[in-house]
Amino acid sequence: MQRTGPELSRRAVLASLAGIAAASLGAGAVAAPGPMLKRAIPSTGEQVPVIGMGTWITFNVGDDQALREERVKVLKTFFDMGGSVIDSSPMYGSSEAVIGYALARLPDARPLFAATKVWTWLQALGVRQMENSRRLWGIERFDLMQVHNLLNWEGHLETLLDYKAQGRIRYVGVTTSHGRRHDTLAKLMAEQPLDFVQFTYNILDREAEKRLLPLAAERGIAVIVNRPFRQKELFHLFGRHPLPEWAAEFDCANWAQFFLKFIVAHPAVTCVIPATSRADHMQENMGALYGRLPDPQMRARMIRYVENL
Amino acid sequence: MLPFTADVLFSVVAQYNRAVWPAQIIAYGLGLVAVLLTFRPLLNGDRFIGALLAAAWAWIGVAYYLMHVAVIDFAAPAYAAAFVIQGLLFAWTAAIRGKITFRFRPTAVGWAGLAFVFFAMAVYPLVGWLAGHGWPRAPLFGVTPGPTSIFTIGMLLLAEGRTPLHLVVLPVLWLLAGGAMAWLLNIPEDIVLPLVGIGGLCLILWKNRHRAKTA
Repeated sequence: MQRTGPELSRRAVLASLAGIAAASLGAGAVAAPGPMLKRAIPSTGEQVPVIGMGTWITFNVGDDQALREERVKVLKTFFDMGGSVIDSSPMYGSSEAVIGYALARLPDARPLFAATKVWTWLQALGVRQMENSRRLWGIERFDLMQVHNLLNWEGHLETLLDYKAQGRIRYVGVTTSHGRRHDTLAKLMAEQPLDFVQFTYNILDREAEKRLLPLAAERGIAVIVNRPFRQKELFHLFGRHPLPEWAAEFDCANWAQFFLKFIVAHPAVTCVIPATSRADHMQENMGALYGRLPDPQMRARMIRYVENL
Repeated sequence: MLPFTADVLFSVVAQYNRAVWPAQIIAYGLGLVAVLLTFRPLLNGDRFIGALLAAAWAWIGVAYYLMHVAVIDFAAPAYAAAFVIQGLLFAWTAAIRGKITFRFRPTAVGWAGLAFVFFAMAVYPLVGWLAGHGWPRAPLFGVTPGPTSIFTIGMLLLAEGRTPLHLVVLPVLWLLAGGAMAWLLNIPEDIVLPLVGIGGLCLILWKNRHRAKTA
């Protein structure tokens, strides 16, 4: 089994203890004890936890006070269990406003690695949009700003690289999802000074293994993986089947951890961003932040297992 | 792919219903007056019906889509524009130029038109209530798009002579889109929307063709 190097910190130890406590409280939310799994962002060496949080649909709850309070609990669970990377977009309705609402109610919830996107046809509008996002989150600056779905990437990359040079953002990235526009993405990865790329990769959608993941490793680009559960489809397909007993060999207690550990075990993946609207599901997801990871042989076995269900 | 869940959508509807109250009562009152006018015509009654439909569509575009749904849906401004355009079309064709006469006739098409109107004002909210979307989460006639589109198709079936097709396009398109959304979000009262849209369109086309033959 593959293990990552020890990255012990006070927060990691506390988060591990939180995982153990969760294990004692609920069978579905088991997190293996041990150091938090982290990966380095190649362009700087900065380490980030391999499990982050997406906000598509789940944090888009508008002004509903009860739903907002539930999302505060989700975010608190995320931070309590060691999470830091949060990804959003102005395309996600009220998600950024709800993140800002929750962050304001969790003042001690740090470290935060704030990632969002710019999503508009016009470069000038992008400048205003990014400032609006920053205001909604209530933060001084974003760690990572990405061009959403490559929309006007020429114009926005110019702005983002300028922002990075000024220190207004720390990292620059581009995103796609649903396996779209891989040719353009590969071209950008080869030609542009990107710190991050984001695309879809999961146990069924493995197109990225052929070109994007090796290219990211070769070019030293961090990879954020979206749609790790194909929204909820993987649970609908496989959730009714029993988890194989050998999943315990890589400290996997539920299907969410099975799907997530498959992804983060790929050496070119930096971080995966599952989204959820429930604190108990967040606890399950964050369990994948600890314990052993499957090695290549085990990953092949995982694929065979789900494809034969 | 929609960026919100059904629960969040109905939460927005609830906030909207509370914000515009008692507009729902006024809309139902005016809607009933419009239906009565198809039985007992008054001077400028047809223009009144046209103005009422224009106001309902424009209101939904601005108050519902632009001021409320836009918080959760990036596509809301496009819907808002479509609803305002439909309002302007009704204002120009029916209210200003007075090109439509709304009359109930005891024909198959007349009864069908009345059935659409009854469905929009009574059956639709009842099904929603049974599905757990009672007040204030209920989409209601005159202030939300689903029942207003159905009501509009009903009134266009009651139009004497040839129904102007440019007034039919957007309501039918919305009913198709609403059905797709209902399918994605599992909203039972909206599953029938595409059937209503296609059925209404077929009846209007049949009515127009029948009118052309008998003219």
